Amino acid sequence: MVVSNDDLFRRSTQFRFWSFTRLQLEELRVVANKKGIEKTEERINQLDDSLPETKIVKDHRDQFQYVHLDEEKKLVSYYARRCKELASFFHLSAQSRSTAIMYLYKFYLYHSVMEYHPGNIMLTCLFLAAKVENQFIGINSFSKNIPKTTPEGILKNEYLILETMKFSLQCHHPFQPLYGFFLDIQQMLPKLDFNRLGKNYDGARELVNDSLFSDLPFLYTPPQIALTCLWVCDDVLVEKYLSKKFKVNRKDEPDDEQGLQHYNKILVIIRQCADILRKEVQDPSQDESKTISAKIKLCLEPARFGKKILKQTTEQLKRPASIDESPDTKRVKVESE
Amino acid sequence: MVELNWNNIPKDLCPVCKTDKYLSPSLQFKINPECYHKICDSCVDRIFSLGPSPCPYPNCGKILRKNRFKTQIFDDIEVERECDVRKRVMAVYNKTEDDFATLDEYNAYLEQVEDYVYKLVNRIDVEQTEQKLKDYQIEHKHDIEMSNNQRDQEHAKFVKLQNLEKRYRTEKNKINREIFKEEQNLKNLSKTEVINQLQTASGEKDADKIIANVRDSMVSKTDIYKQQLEELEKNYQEEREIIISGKDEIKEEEKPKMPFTPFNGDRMPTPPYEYGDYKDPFLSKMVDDIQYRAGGYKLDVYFQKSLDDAFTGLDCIIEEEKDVADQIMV
Repeated sequence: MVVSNDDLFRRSTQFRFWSFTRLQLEELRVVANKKGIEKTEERINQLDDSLPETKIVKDHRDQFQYVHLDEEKKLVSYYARRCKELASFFHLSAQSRSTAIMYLYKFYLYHSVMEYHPGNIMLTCLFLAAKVENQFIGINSFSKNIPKTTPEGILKNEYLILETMKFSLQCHHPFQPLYGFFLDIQQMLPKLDFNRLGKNYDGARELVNDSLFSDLPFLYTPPQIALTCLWVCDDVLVEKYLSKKFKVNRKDEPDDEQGLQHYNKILVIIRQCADILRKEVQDPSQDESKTISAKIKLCLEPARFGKKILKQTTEQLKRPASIDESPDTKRVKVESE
Repeated sequence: MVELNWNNIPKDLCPVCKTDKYLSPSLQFKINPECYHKICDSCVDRIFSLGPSPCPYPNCGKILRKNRFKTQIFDDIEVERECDVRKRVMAVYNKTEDDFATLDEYNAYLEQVEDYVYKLVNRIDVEQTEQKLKDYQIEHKHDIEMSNNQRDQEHAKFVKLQNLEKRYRTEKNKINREIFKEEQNLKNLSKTEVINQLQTASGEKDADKIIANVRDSMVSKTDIYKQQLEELEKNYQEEREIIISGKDEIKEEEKPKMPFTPFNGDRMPTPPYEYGDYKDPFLSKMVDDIQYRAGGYKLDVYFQKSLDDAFTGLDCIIEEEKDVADQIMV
C-alpha cells in the first residue's frame, strides 16, 4: 500500500475539519450570523420589563441594527490585525502569531460577533496559540501587559475556543512549505540567481502573512498558498520551476502527458488563489471597526440601546433645535451600510 | 585412621573431605586450571564461597577462585591442561588461512603457535612465553577482535542453518505423517463412504460413479499435501541459499530506516524531490554557532521537514474533494 504525502494531509484535522469549499464557508458564516441575530433577539426579550429602557427598546425594535455578514468579516479581520501587532509586542514567532489568527477566524466560523466580542476572543486566542506553539507566556504577565484585562477574563473563554476548534489545535501554515519550495527551486534550477530567489522568498513570506487575513487558509492547502505567494512575486520563476518539476516544455523530450495535466492543474489553482490574495485580503480601518464595534456593544447589551434612545429623546426635548440633526445621522449610518 | 597419601590419591575419593564416589554417587569433581588439583563440588562450595583461598593440597599454596573451577573433561590431567593452554593461546592467535598471503606464511604462523603451546604445556620458559603472548595480544588487539567477530558470525550462520534444517525436517515429517494418515483413511473410509452413499442415494444413480467420486475427493486431499510438501522444499532451498550467501544480514542492513507502520512499508516510495545541497546564508550562519548545534539542531532535518511540508497537500484540491465528500455524506 502506498500512502502519499497528500494522503497524509487528507488525514490531518486541518483538512478534515478546517477546509471548505467556497459555498460551505459562506454557509457557515450565514448560519453563524443568523445564530447571532437570534441570540440578540433572545437577549432583548429577556430584558427586565421593570426598567424604563426595556419598553423603549421594544418600541424601537425596527431601528435596532444587527451586524451584517460583511461587517462581521471586517471586524474579525480588524482584530486579527490587532492580534498580529500584539503578537509582535510579545515577540512571538510567525508560527504562533499565525496560529492565533487562524484560531480567531475559525472561532467566528461557528460563532457570531454578536455573541462574543472579538476583542476578548482575540486575546484568548493569542494566549492559547502561544501555549500550543510552545512559546508559553504566563497568564499574569500576559494580562499585565495588556491594559484593561484580567487573567480570569482571558481564561474564561479558553475552553469555549477549544471546543469550537473541535480540540484540533494543529495549524499547518504556508511558511514551512514556502521554505521547502525555496530549497527545491535551488535544486531544480541550479543556474538561478540566488539573490533573485532570496528576494522573492522574502516577498512571498510577506504575502503569506497577508494571506492569513483572507479566506485562503480555509480554501487552499498550505503548499498551494505558498506557491501562489511566490508566483505573485515572480510568476516566471514559479512557472519555470513547475514546468521543470513536471517535465513539460522540454525540447529534447516529448511532453509527459501526465506531467502536463498536473502542471496545468496546479497553475489553475495558483491563479484562483492569487485572485483571492489580490482582492480579498482585508485590512479594515479603525473607524470602520469602531462603528461595527459600537453595534456589537448594543447587541450584547440591548439595554444600552434603550438608554441611548432615552438619552437622545431627552436631549431632543431639552434642545429642540437638534431634532433635525439626529435623524440625519441615522440616515447616514443606514446609507453607509 | 589411615593417612592419605597425597601423592597417590584414589581416583574416586575427594582428598579434602574423604568422600568416596562409591558411597555417594552424586559426587562430582572439579579442577582449577591454576594447579589442576581435583576437589569435590561440595568442598569447592564450602572452601571458596567466601572468596579466594589457598589450595587445600599440601605444598601447593596457589590461591584459587571459585569461578575458575570447572568440571574435568579428560581423565588425564595433562591432556586437560593442554586443552586449556591451547584454548588460551588460540584465543589470541586466532588468524585464519585467509589472513595470509602465502601458505608458507600461514605455516610459519602455525609453527610458532605450536611452539608456544608446547612451551607452556611442558613448562619451558613459561614466563618468557607468557610475556610474548601478552605483548602480541596488546599489539594485535584490533585484529584479534575482528577475527573473533568473524568467527562469531560464522558460528551464528551455522546455527541459523541448523535451525532452518530442523524446522524443515519437522514440517516435512508432519506433512508426511498427514499423507500417510490420509492414505490409511482412504482405504477405510472410502469403503464406508461408498456404502453410505449407496444407501442414501436413489436407485437411479450409478454405483460406480459414486465410488469414483469418493475416491476423487480423497485423492485430491493427498494431492494438496503433496503440493504443500513441494512448496516447503522450495522455500527451504531458497532460505538455505540466502543464509549461505550471507544475504540475509545484508538485507537487514540495507533496509531503509523508516518508522514502524502497521502495513509494511505503506509509505511514499520515492519523495517528490531530490535531496540536494542547499544554500541558506542565514541558517548556515546560525548553525555555525555551537550553541545551536549543541542541542542537537541539525540543518538537514529542518531542510527535510520543509521539503516534506512543501509536498504535503500540494495536490489536494479542496474545492473538488470536499465537494465530493459532501455528496457522499448526503
